[in-house]
Amino acid sequence: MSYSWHSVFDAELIKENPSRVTFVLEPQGGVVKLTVTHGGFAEGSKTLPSISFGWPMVLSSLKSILETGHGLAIDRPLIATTEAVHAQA
Amino acid sequence: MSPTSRPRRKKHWHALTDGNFTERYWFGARLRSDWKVGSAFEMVRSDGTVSDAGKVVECDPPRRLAYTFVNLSDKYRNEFPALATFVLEPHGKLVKLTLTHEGFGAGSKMLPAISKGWPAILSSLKSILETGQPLEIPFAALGMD
Repeated sequence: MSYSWHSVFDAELIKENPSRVTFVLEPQGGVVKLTVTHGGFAEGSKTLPSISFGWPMVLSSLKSILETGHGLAIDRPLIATTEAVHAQA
Repeated sequence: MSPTSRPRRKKHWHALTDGNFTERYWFGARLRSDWKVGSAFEMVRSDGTVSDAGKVVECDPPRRLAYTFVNLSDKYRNEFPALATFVLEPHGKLVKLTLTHEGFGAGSKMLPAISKGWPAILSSLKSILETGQPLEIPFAALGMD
């Protein structure tokens, strides 16, 4: 599965060209391996650091909900704070 | 740091350093070391033979652990011992584990191998910590040569 991605929540990110996310699901022994590739960013893209911060949390939470029935309890204020720090870096 | 994050990281630290525990989620590998900087670090197979060996470079429980290692099979044994660094950080009520494995020589065969191995090991680690059960991934399913 593949879709284009355009971050529209931020005045700067919305100016960037859309990127592309691809999900590949493969059997690996008795389990399923999910590979997410997000590419097609222009040099100096600010969407790239944003999604690099976001995907690990989302995918970690996805694995938790699939295996335990509960997503990760990631605090929203914490996300906002960490994201702001991340954006400055 | 909130007081509640400490015991949680202790659990992760134990999972990364206790050989009896690593054996359950790390393709059967028991990690063996006294975890003092400069001490030997080994991965031990179930038959008692050592598959990988290196040295402890950093040990700051429950925050940072770093060690070098090379695989002792003919294919990899002459490679430069790259450095694996584990960082545990509180992330709200959760713990964020970041692994960086770096310092491979040009044309390293170990780099593509660990790139297949680590995702499986770390995914299995997350499963065992959250559900009590590791992932049942046959080593052959990783598709290494």
